[in-house]
Amino acid sequence: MSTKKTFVLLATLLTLVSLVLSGCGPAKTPAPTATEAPATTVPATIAPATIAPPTATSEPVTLVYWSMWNADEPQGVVIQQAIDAFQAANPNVTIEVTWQGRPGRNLFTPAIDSGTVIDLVDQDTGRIALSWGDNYILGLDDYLSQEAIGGNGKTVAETLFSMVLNQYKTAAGNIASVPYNPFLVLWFYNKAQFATAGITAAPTTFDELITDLEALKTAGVGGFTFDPDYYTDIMSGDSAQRYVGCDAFDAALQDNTGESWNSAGLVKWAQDMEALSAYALPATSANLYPAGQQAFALGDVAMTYNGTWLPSEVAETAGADFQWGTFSWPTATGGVGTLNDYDTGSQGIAITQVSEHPDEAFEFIKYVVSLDIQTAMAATGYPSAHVDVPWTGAVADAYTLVQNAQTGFGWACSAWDTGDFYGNNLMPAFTDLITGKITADAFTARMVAESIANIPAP
Amino acid sequence: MKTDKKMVLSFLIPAVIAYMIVSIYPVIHSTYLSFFEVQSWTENNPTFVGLANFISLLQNQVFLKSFGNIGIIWLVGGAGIFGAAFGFSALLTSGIKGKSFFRAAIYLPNLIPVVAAAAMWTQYIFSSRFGLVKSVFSALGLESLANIEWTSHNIIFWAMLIAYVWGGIGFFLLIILAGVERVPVELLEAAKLDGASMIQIFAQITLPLLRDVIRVAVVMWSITVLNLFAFPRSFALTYTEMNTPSIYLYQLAFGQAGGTTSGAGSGGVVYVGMAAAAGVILTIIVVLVYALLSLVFKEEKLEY
Repeated sequence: MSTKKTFVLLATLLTLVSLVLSGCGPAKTPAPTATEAPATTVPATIAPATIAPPTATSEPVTLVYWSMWNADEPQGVVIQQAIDAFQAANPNVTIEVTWQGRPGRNLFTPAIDSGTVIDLVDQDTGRIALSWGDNYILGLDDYLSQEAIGGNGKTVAETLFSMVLNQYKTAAGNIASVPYNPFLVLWFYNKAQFATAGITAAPTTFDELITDLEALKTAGVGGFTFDPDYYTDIMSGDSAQRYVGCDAFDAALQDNTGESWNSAGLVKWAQDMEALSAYALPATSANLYPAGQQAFALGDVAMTYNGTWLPSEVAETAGADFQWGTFSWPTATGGVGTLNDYDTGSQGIAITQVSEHPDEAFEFIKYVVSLDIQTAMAATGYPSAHVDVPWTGAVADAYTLVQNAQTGFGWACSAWDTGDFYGNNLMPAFTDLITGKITADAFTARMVAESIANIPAP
Repeated sequence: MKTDKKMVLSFLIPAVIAYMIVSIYPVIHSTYLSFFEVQSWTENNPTFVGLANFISLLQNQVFLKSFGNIGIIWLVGGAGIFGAAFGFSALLTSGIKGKSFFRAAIYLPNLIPVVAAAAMWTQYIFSSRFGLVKSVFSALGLESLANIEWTSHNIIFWAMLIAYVWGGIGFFLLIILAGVERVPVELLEAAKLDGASMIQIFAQITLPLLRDVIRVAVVMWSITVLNLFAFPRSFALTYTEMNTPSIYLYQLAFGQAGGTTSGAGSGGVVYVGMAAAAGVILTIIVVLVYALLSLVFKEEKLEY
């Protein structure tokens, strides 16, 4: 063979090999977007598990676990600790965890469909049940009746907040995941500023809320603010829930006659939001995340509407001496929602249908939601799903609220799932209403006109 | 030199195969998906819906508005970028001292990552509390201008456009400047001696000689705008006022991602087939725009 031919063959071979190998290399884990990853500090120490996990099997078993966290996030640190302890107690079980980060949610179903064996996956409980559901996820109802680790005779289901455990079910009616890191959406307030204004208790009705805001104004304290680009959805959906309920609100968003906006409940809602707008911090409509929540942490206002992740996000700005308080969105006169209805959700852990070791996988899940691991989770400042693990620090007050919680509804009444009208029409109009740019009458008229113009016939 | 066809082929084939796998296959598969109702990325039995996705999109106000948005960006932003680029190129070729410094300074915004640039504009320049714009107008006593809420949903699109023009000038300046510097000085001096004004020289000598450069620049600008995604999305994640076709396509395909850890939109509803149809429409428009620009700016070889 001539030298030239040898060179050509070698070059071709090398090129092909490099192409093939580049496809076989480990997938680079995409970094989570800054907007999705909660800004927080990893705790220096996490309480070690005091109850050894049970021995699950005597046969060598490998569980593949796709986690939505990054390894250095507080939740990731706790889960890694749980994995280490579980493996130590079960030498025959190896858990191969991949820290997928948030983008993993887009990779899960393609991975399963292309033959990747994944035993455990964690994600938002709604996504697991509604998007992945019966096609990919194992129903856990039977498993949940097993005795919890360290539960003093309680079943796993009994040790978890029922509101989040039962919030989402698959089309077949199964519980698809076990919640371990729930959240509540709440009004957060500065107790010191409330005290300055002579307010001794958090408001429970809309009228009390206005009375308190007036007292704050008199005391020279700012009312409320928020970040419209991130939280107009929960401000609108959660407030509307108190007046007409989520079903009626979602129906209005799909009513191409626009008549729903003239209903007594939604007219009253608009009128109350106009009244509330009088206490919005000036230029609230110009806030872009995180400007609004930073203004709250800096003391420019006494209140903001946000989720239980807020204290971690603004911890450095607020400082250790910030006096955190929380209350549920107040009820409305004649409204259908109660103080015990919450915009809530959770990260949950699930077993896939392709898992060949579902029993061992559930043993690990039981350990993740055991008292000890959930206590470690709570120590990070994030709420625990375990009923016997008090929430700590800034969300300590919310623990009382969640114990009384009855009904959980989806993010902003799941209004995003109703179609384009919500994001394209209602949210801009609601932002204008809640920041005092338009009146309630103008809002209602706009919603009617835009419903007719933009919502397609069913 | 004798060409060895086998050698050429042996080098070409791997690249061609790789190109077909990563470029052609997705186009074909997306076109295929665009005729189906597909509600998850891996749905096994999608429903054939014919042209329904295309009809639905062409009647969809949000999708149409997103094209209106890029129309405004193309026209108004283009006027801003090319106006400034021509202005700066005139300045930089006028014998000004420190030309290299100014050229580098004007190009600098291109080196800033998109997300960082968007954060800088939204949080520090346009902030209604302590932003640079507010501070400058307040210092000048122009309170009505200082009180403009640049980042409110009603006008944030225009704030984004200003920032986008700022970021785009440097790149197109380099292209135009390279063309301007190639124009023979003798031609300009002869016109000057004949009594031509600066505007006449620019309009009747410089501009015609830059025809090919302008063609390339306009084509690049058009395709950039048609595919615009990262900057407006980084500017304000959820405001539909900022939607471009690519952003709307993404929302259809991956769901409307709010800013939460839980990933808002509890069900994570996605419309993969419709997103594919949006991609096909966008591709067709890119090809049409390119063809149209090729007609308007017919390639001519000018030697000078």
